[in-house]
Amino acid sequence: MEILLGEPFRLPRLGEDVFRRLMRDVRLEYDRQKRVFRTTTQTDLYQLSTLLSEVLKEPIIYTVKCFICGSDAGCTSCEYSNICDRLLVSQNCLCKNCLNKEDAYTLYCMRVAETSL
Amino acid sequence: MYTEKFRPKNPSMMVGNEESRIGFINWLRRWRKGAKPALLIGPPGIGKTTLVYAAAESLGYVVLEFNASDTRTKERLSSSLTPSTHSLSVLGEKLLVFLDEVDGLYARQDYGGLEFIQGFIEKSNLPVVLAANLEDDEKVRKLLPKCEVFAFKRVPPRLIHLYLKSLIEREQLNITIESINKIVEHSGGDIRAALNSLQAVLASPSSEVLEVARDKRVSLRDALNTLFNSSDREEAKSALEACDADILEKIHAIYSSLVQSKVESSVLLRSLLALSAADELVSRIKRTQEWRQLRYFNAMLSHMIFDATPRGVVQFSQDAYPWSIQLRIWNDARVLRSIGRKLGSMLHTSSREALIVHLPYLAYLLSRLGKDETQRILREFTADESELRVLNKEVARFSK
Repeated sequence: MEILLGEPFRLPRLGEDVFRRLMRDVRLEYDRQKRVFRTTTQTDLYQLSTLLSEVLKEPIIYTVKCFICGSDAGCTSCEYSNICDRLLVSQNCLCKNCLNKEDAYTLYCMRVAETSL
Repeated sequence: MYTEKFRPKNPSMMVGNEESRIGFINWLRRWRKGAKPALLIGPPGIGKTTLVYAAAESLGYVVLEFNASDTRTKERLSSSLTPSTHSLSVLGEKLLVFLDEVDGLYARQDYGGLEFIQGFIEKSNLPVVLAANLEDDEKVRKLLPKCEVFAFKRVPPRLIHLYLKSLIEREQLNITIESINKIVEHSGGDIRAALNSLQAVLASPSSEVLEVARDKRVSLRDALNTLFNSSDREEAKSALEACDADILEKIHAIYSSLVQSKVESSVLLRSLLALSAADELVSRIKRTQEWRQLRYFNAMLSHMIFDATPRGVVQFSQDAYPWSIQLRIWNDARVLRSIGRKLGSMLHTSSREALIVHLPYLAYLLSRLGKDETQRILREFTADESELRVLNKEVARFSK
């Protein structure tokens, strides 16, 4: 299963005990109306991958999104994939397309400024 | 220093940790008297201090910075900080109190320092910002419920690349793209290390200088997760060496993580035997006072655990209580806390240690005595009926 960090994702019904652990120990965010989960900066990604891979019986792969355009940053084809531990880095990155733009840094800074308003 | 020369003046000019950065700016923007203080937690070199100064400047605050690991004692903290609880501004300037490195306070030597900070943040008339490197530090854990927490992580390599590239273009620095890539690779998500490396490479273009710039302190959680998951033996050893935690703390945390994990019993046995050998070594060093041997401890422990434990099946976990004990702790938590405080003050230890380490032994010893004798001792310890009920339950567990 692939989880895009910071973005909503769905899970099948996993039972009350697992749900409680996801909320209390893993500190995952849950939207009751939309019935979707979301990782936050407080989420323990180590525990999340251990728990979900155990109950879903499949590996959990984290990917991050591009902060400028919002698309998948493309972790699998990233030139730094061998040194980037997605469990340890913050939840946004840049996709190759945005990184190669001439004014990428300015666009990035503007996006942060817009979001904090 | 490049880290000072190119320190961003505006929070939006920094890179990485966007959500926490924006959260912190909004916290400061909406701050009102009585609001919780902010606690910024994250590894060194990712911009916590820079963010505090940049956010303060952009919102018109003047920062009063105290480094908690320099100003440690209650008296020194009190004389430095107390005046700021009474004033809202100086010469019309809005003030912000910044206590950096709160995990640098050492509980025993700096007795009273942490308690003073806990009291101070409740009374202060000014916005208070605390910063710490290690979330699993006991002192930081005590502050967590009283603060609005903003967690910071390492900066993704591509964002470090972006920042360095923009800086190099703006300052017209002469450096190759290969060198930038090497700096990013060696930075380990630490933007301060990347800037130090950049300065070092520009001064002396050799890849050897890259190694010295990085601040290698890691938390116990990160160190153990690397130890359990890394496929590289040397990386596992380096992670353990880079962790400042006490050796016994490391052994306890490895034990808790192993017991909590769901590995096969034969693997668990092998891992626990390896751990017990390390524990035995520490005891021997203590007994013989051969402290020089300690330098081999991290290497030995990491190699033994690396060989004994399959990769990727164990994760860091500090409190390994079975479900039944957790349930009892939740149900009797309030009463247990009060027992822990009393017992801790009698035994000169923390209430947590009193509950986890000492209470089971006391309950066992009491269970060996007669019923009347047990009740007499318990009534001498406390007159509170709910505490007596919980203590009797503890004793009864061993009587069965």
